[in-house]
Amino acid sequence: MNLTRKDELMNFKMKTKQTALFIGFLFVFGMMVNVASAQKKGSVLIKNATVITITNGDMEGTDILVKDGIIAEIGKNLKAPKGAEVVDATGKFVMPGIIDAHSHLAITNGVNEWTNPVTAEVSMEDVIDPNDVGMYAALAGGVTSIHVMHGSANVIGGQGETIKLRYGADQEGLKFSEAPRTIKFALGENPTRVHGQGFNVQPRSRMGVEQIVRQTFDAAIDYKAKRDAYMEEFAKWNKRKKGDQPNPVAKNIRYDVINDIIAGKVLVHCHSYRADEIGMLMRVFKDYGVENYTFQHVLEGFKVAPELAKHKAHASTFSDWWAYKFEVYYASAYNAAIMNKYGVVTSINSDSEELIRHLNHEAAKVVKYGGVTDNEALMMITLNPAKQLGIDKYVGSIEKGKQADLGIWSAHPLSIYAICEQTFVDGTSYFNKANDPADMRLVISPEDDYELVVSAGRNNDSCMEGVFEVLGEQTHSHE
Amino acid sequence: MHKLSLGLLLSLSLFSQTKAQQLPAYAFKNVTIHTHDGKSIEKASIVWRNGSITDYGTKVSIPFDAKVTDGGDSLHIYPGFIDGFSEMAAPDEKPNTDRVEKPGEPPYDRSGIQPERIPSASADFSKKDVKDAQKEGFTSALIGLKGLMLPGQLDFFHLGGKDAQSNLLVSSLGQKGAFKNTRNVYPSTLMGTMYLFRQLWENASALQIKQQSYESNPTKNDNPGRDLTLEALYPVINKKQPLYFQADDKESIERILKLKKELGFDLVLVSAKEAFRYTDLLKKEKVPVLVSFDFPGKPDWKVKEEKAEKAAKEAKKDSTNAKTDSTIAKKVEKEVPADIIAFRAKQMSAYNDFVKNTKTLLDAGLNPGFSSIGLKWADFSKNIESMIEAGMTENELVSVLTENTAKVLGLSNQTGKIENGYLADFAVFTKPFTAKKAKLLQRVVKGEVYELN
Repeated sequence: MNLTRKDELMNFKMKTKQTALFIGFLFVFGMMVNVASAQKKGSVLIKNATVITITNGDMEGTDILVKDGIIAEIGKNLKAPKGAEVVDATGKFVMPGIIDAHSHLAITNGVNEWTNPVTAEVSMEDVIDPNDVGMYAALAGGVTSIHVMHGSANVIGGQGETIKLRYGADQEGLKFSEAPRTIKFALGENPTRVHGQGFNVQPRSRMGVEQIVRQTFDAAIDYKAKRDAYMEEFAKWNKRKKGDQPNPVAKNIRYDVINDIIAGKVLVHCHSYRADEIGMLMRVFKDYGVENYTFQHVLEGFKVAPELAKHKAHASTFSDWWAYKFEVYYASAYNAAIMNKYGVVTSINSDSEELIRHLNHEAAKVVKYGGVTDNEALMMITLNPAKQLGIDKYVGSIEKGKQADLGIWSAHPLSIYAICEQTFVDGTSYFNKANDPADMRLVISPEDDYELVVSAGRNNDSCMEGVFEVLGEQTHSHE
Repeated sequence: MHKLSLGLLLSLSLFSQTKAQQLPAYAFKNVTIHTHDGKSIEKASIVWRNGSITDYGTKVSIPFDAKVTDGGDSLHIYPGFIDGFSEMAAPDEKPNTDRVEKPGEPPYDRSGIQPERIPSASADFSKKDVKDAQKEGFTSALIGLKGLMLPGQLDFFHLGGKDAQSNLLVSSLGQKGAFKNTRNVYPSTLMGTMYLFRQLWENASALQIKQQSYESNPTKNDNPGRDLTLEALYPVINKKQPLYFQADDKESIERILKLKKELGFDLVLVSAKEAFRYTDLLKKEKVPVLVSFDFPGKPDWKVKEEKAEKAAKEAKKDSTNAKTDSTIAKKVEKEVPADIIAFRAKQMSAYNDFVKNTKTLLDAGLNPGFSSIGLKWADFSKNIESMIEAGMTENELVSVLTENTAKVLGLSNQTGKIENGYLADFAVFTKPFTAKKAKLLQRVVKGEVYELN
């Protein structure tokens, strides 16, 4: 691989004394952060790679030209415009940046507002932690966008936020600005356990879960009628300002979000396991006209794959992760492949700051267990999650006009030996294995020890974060 | 807020007109007077009566009835320091963790929504923090109660005696706020807290309109009833009162600026330990800042290094030991790996940023005032020393502790300066207050002299 000027500087400094090294390090580090926070749309020419387009097959010996963050051309013998960086990718593979439709990275102070069965009003948008070094680890696994989600303690949880891993940017700068709004729903044991079992508040059963959804939607529709009538009256009054101002119906942020779901402005991502509850929610959504939703986890999706396809519901699942609680005992590693075969838009997600670093391996398992093609497997971590998040117009495949979120891999990404060497977001390099300092923390407290790093692992960022300690339970199951 | 303080000022001046001749005057002579703007007047005198300054300078005629203290050219008088945001007299409150029936619908107070609370009703001026602040030369403070997202109003007090009511100078200067949530009821998270601020604004605004319609036409319109908690938010919603909001890290500052933009209240940013990252924005948005003098400690390794250096220097005087010590020091240095050296450089730069925070805000023209929030009073003079080491001057410190704070609180027409007609609040030191071994001798609060023992 060609070294960039930054890399060369780094290498040169490495050969000099320690003092010079750390000055050089700071210089390079500072440059990287500056570039990131300015959210530069990069221009780069990646030369002579095997390009895995996802939508148009694999193209050998092919160049990708990126101008100002957008893929300008895909072809042979392309020429770099003046000043553009050139990366020689001979013998390497380029694939679209991986998209994780289920993540709890980069969240400040609480994944679960678990205190109420319905919390549509809260949003991850308000609590993004741009300093989570887990984002850098994800970049090193070729991931470029993640869906930051509320936990699964509530039937109707909080709104999610789709972000691009522009590591070093601030809360605003991380946002995937074109992405539609999303919201988390959750069925089954988590909400019944927290609210019913924990506080004797509805729902205590799966039947209660359905009723919470229906009651909330009905109340929201009722509120909307009253609020709209008031707004109309107010508009009339506001023109002439004669007589008393009409009595206001206060804006209800929670119900506004529910009405936006019904209007199709907010995409539902629903935590689910069992076939019966999956069927239930599809019926409820049909009643209220909600479309274009995604079941998360959906471990028994294979039992209702034709029904999922019929309702055009999407599925975002694990490759082979089950038996961590009772409702998850019936599962199959063939789940993704079966749903895929029935035409369900299926993705493989991480729900973990560790798994997110090798989602390519997770996709490879679907080839092993379900016999899907390589391209279908890679689609499950690129274009399909993009569809589920409503961002497939912009990312998820390597096509002219799409945003240049790309990963350069040392071998075919489904190979266990493949290593992600460089990751681009908007044509800007945010991870480069040739220049990968040991300590990538953005914020360092004068009082911290060097060794203090947040530990990664499945149990640490679970969907039920913050809930069990309050319930006084010892169990720390993942889901 | 301004109405209140104006009313108070009026009543104060009325008071002085009627009783002026009955109360004796006080004076210091042969002292050095340090004014808020960094000037020092040597061999000066200052006279006050009825709690207000009547004259000061080098050509002062001291009234015949004045009780005079001769400073003998060795006393230094400063405007009394003002703590712009503090919990010093707030009673300690045990958080209520009892289970509620529906954790999603708790009563206001369980969520930390208590804007109707008034500090003067429960402030305790015999608390240690009050004494500690007095020892440092503070004569007044804006005080709020302890709590969560909206713990109550902020009252401005003199730090005189132990009686809260007689210390009270201006009530309800602002609302106190923070991103603080409980764990076992709504809001149990930051995102829940963000939402609640928004929904409270919606609910209070609607109730206010309903109440206005009812008042204007009670026979025709429905009576919406009262809600003292929501009503306590009206002054902030109507921009008659600012929201004093504690936020330290960069993201918290971004979040409160976002809420300010959405809800349109007047904001005073408090504590603001990472405000140095935001000087341009704070200036553009015209957000007043009350900065905390609390900052993280020096990294452990640096403290050790400095100790070793000091020891080595002392050892150098003894030439026989010098050689062995320097070789040991070199050995230790060689063992530090490159990534740790890089880490340490970042740590030192972070430390310096924090120490220089107040100075950075001053240099940016933000005129920050002072808040003791988060600060252990035992660290006050130590931290001032570090700030001076990092480039701050005594004059700058004085302006932060006096005039700037008074300005942020909207009280610069009555306190924060040594000026005729201003409150007779001073701190009397044996030397310039940042000089080594400077001691506070007396405080004058509302004209009353408090000896420091």
